Amino acid sequence: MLKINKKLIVASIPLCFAFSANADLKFNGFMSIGAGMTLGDDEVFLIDEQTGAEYTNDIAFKPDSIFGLQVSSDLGDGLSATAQIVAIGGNDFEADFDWAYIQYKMTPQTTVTIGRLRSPFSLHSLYVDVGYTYNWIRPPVENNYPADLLKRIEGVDFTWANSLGDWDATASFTYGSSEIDAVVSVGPATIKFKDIMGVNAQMTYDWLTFRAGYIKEDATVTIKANNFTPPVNAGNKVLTGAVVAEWDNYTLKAEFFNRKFPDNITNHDRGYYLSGAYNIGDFTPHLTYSAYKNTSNNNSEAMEDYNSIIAGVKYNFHPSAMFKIEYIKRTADTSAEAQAAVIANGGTPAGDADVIAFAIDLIF
Amino acid sequence: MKISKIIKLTAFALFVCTLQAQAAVAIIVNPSNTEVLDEKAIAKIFLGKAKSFPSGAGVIPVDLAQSSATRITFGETVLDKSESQMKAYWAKLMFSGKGTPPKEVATDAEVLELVAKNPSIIGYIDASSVTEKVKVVHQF
Repeated sequence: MLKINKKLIVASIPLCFAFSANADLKFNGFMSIGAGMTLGDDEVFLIDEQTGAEYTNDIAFKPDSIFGLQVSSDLGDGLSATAQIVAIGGNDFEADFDWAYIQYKMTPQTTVTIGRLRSPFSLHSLYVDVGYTYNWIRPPVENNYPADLLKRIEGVDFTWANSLGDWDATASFTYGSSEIDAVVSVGPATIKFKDIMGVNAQMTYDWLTFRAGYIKEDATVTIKANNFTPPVNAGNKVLTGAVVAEWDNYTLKAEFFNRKFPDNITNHDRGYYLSGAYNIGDFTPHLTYSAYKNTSNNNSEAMEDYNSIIAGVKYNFHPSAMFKIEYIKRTADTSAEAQAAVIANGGTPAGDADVIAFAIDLIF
Repeated sequence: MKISKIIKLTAFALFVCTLQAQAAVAIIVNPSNTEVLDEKAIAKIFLGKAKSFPSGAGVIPVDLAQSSATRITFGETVLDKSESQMKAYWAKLMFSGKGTPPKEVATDAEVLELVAKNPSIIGYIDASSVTEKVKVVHQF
């Protein structure tokens, strides 16, 4: 089993910059300033499962605000070192490394990356903090839950990429571990992930792109407040897929995830979205339908069942900046009994909500 | 104004307009470079998708500064991307460790110098800046 001393790796990356006085240092960054609220008194809309960031009836700026700074050094001969520090509003703007890695180009087509990496769950997960790169203020949350709890991995990634005629293809294998603090239904907890193994492949033919991925990991959840509850085994397997069609000024995108837990946790959850966007000069209106379902293997009644319609416009008012406005209408289809069961477990069921949100995203 | 003068002025104005419409972009390589490149192959090189010339030889694309009019025209015509689409494309790769954009230089003169010295380099400049020290593989 691969044991990686995370602290050593993360701490040693800045040293690479100290020694390479002659190497080019490149600084880049991104920033999102967001604001949003729900339109009804008791309405709550959860943005991030790990931090608990959510929108309520009072306007909030933290859930969709992010600051990121990246410094990269080309050490020559295919070797480079990069560190990306990100502060997310949902985490009270506590700055932390989202990426800190050494990368080596073994051949023009193959690259190995070692250090702290973002987890490769979906089309957008590797650059999800950079709002400038997609139309929504944030990707539909219904498809994002697996990535919420496993945002980063300390480990290694092997990527192969090549282009032939009208075809572009890339494939990656990621291996590593992670440890996070999160707030689960019964309170604050530590989640330890190990033996995380992910494979994903993406293929583009002219205007059509397909992506498929599979991640499995062992995970144990330890409730902080309680010494009597033994750690819970929450290892899971997640299958993901996506298709993107881009032609003229249209973009159609669809993605899904399907997650299975071990027998002691009887959950089985899945989510997906369908999204369409159209470019009119500097404006891109978009419309998305996303849905999430969480069922118990013991009971055919769905524990959680809700969907959202997202309607928004992105406006590129400057080459390096964009303004976004978004309206989300969430409808909860979870039965009353299932909602009561979630409450009995110490959780908060997702209910109906109308959300309005704004953001300015920029890169530099 | 006399009719003949109006006609002359209109003809001159049209001539000037055509001149501007022909402010072409030339894609250049070292004179010793014998690669056969079409627009699609050039696009793949500048998007970082093709890691070598069609023959397999190493390629180093060079860009002009992001705000340069020549670069914007190149992006819209050859890469089929607007300025902000280009930025988003490279932001996705750069912030996820999957690629880095080509080296940027400020002037056509710098591109000419780099191309004339190194057979691996491919760049683009305003067509009016082309000299006999470089070879034009594509122009539009």
